[in-house]
Amino acid sequence: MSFIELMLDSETLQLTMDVSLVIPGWEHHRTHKYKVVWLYHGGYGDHLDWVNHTNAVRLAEERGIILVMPGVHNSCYVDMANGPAYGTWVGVELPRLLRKMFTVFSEDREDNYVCGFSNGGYGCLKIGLTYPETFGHIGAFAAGDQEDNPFPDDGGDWSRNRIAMFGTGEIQGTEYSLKHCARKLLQEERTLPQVYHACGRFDPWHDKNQLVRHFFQKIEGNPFGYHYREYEDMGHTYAFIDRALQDFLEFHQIG
Amino acid sequence: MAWMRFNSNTHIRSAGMQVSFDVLYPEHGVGAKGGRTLYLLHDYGENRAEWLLQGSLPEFVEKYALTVVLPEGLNSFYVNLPSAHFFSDYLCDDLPAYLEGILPLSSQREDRFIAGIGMGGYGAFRQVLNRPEVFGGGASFSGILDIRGFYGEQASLPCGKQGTTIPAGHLFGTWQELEENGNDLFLAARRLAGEKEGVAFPRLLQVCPDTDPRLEDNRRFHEEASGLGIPVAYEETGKSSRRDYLYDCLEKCIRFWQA
Repeated sequence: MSFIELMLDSETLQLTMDVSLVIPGWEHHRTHKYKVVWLYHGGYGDHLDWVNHTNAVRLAEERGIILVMPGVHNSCYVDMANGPAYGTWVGVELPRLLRKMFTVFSEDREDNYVCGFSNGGYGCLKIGLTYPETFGHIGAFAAGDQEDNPFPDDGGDWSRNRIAMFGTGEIQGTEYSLKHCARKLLQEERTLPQVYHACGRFDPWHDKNQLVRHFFQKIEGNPFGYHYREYEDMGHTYAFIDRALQDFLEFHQIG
Repeated sequence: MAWMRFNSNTHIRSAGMQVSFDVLYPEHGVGAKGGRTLYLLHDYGENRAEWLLQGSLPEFVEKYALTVVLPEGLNSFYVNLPSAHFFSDYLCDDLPAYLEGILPLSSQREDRFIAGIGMGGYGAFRQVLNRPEVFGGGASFSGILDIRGFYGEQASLPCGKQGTTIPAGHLFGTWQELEENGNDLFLAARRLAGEKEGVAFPRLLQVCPDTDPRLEDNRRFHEEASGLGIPVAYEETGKSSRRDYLYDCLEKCIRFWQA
């Protein structure tokens, strides 16, 4: 197995970006294509979060899957209203660059899983629901919809951050709303990602997670194959996401 | 240019340890030029960052659409060590096969070149002379080309620093083993010249400043190789800063390879 720290120039962002990669195995033939798990960090995290705090690398090695862990600074994986287009980076440019650079990435959407924790949970849903032709599966661990966050425009740090990312207006009905993205896919009859969502019962944002859950569970016919799993004894912790990732991989029999 | 820092924990049969290497990859240019790869070897007492910190590699990567590989060589001289860490096998077999399995690099001999500074210069020639089917050519910059000089009462570090030393036998094998194990570059050249059928001679470039302590060894090697009919391009250069010297060597080496 190789663990690779990659510095890649992004045309979209006009920045050099950090990405961590795991490529399993050692002897390769160019014909073999691995499944790819795109793993997003949470708020204030980086491309090494999953590496430093969970068993993700070991799981990837054991299961023979590629892991891609991009760092996205504090962008929540969106094309920022008042900043660079991080959503286009992770959803479009990064997959394109990596698939051209490495010969062992499967490009089949069924083999591409976008997952994340906390802000990355929102992020993986956002990206998966925006680029369903690229990612066939979403694995969201502790994920709320930004639309459900109240916005006290009080000039404080949180609100200034919010304005940089989402602007000053309502998120409902915009590209930043997960519900809006999901509805749009249904209306436009596009291909749909399968959505897996996990949350700990003691997660401080448990209520926000339930709003996401109720939204998907109310859609008739369950076209997103929505599956929810609650962890009775866990909170918003690295221990939780370690378990959640493992169970997600097991659920989908990845590797 | 993409910078990839590899840490591989697979117990590579040859290296016998976890291995690190950096790859500088021309993600905009490679399709057109067919994925040629330059393996750059660092000096004794340095590591794979030496070439990185020299600073000019991005310029060469982009200009020539080359992939540059910087393997970690410790202080191994890139030989198959008596301690069962086989750095030569790692460089010639495992590493190219691995990279060509995951990146769109050419597996043609002519599309692989190996070069190095000091210990790396020795390393480049050591691979090319003993494994001519792997690399299309090699370049030595201030190479430590005569290792027999390390045998004797005091094995010394080639840069002349004080400190712990390794007996030459623990690097290059016993005096007797030198006859066969490929580590004596003069003997390796002789053997290669004797096996004229099969693989075409690799192209060799030797660069050495005229103030370098290894100048005599470099002159002798050039004489020996030429005498055997092995084509070696040879240049003695003037003194300049190490940084400028390495830049110059890179430029010469790539032009030589492409010629």
